[in-house]
Amino acid sequence: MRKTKLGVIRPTLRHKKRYILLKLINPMVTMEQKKLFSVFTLSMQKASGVFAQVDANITILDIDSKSKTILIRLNKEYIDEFTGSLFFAQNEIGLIKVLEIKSTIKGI
Amino acid sequence: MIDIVSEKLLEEDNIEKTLLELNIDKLYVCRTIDKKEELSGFTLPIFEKVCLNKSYLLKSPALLSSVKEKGVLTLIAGGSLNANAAALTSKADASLFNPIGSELCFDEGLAELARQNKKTIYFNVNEIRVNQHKAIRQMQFIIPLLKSKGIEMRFVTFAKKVNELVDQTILECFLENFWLEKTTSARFLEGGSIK
Repeated sequence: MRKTKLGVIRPTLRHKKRYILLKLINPMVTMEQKKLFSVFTLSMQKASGVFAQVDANITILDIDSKSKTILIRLNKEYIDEFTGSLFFAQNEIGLIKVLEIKSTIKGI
Repeated sequence: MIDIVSEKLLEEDNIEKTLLELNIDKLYVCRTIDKKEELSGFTLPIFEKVCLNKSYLLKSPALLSSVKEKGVLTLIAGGSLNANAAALTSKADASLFNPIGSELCFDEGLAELARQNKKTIYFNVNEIRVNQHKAIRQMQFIIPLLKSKGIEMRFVTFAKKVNELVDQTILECFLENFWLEKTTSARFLEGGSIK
């Protein structure tokens, strides 16, 4: 079989990402990635449905337990839905403040 | 951002710091009034950077005549057709608070009354957490109706605990579910008027 080179996805076809920095004010849970991920995905599912949650592709990049900040990457089109869904996430993880929403990770 | 909270919130530790972190610099502290006697003895602590103002939530429109203080935000609790109508027709400087009831108790007639009397309608966003099904269903009808008539709305937390407060960015995005654009909801949250 002839070997073919695996092509890279063209930039125009890729999902554009946004980086969102959250701060937990008096957190009610431990700053564990698994726990936080399940809270964020469930609240997004509750607010916008399972298809939006899957498409949003929520990824927790960094958790700083000292400053209580969480860096999340997600699909650009779902940034408002995700931010809105944090209204429900507050019930489980405590008061949340959106510090920054940037298009590049360098900006944060 | 302007917010109305319950007086119980001020009993929490480091509350001023939390409010400043959420960019809340103007706050109405509300006492719920069931009887006339509860109007007396309501004093607010002094905060360094947050401006605190008094507010009364009257359970009955009949208590309106008992409020003698000036410069106090007076709210009348809604929740039934009679209470909503009484709040919107009163000549006094009082606003309707939370017109969500066990069943829908707001219609186009009441919206027209609110427009004629230039009333502001306050919504308790925490009602969505507590009474989710009814609150969302009713708010999805009432908010677009009020928006179409150009009536002033405010979205407040009426928080009793710290975790019931909401960040402005989160609330702006959340209100898009009720067909309010970000700019419109930002204006409501800042206390501005609809154009």
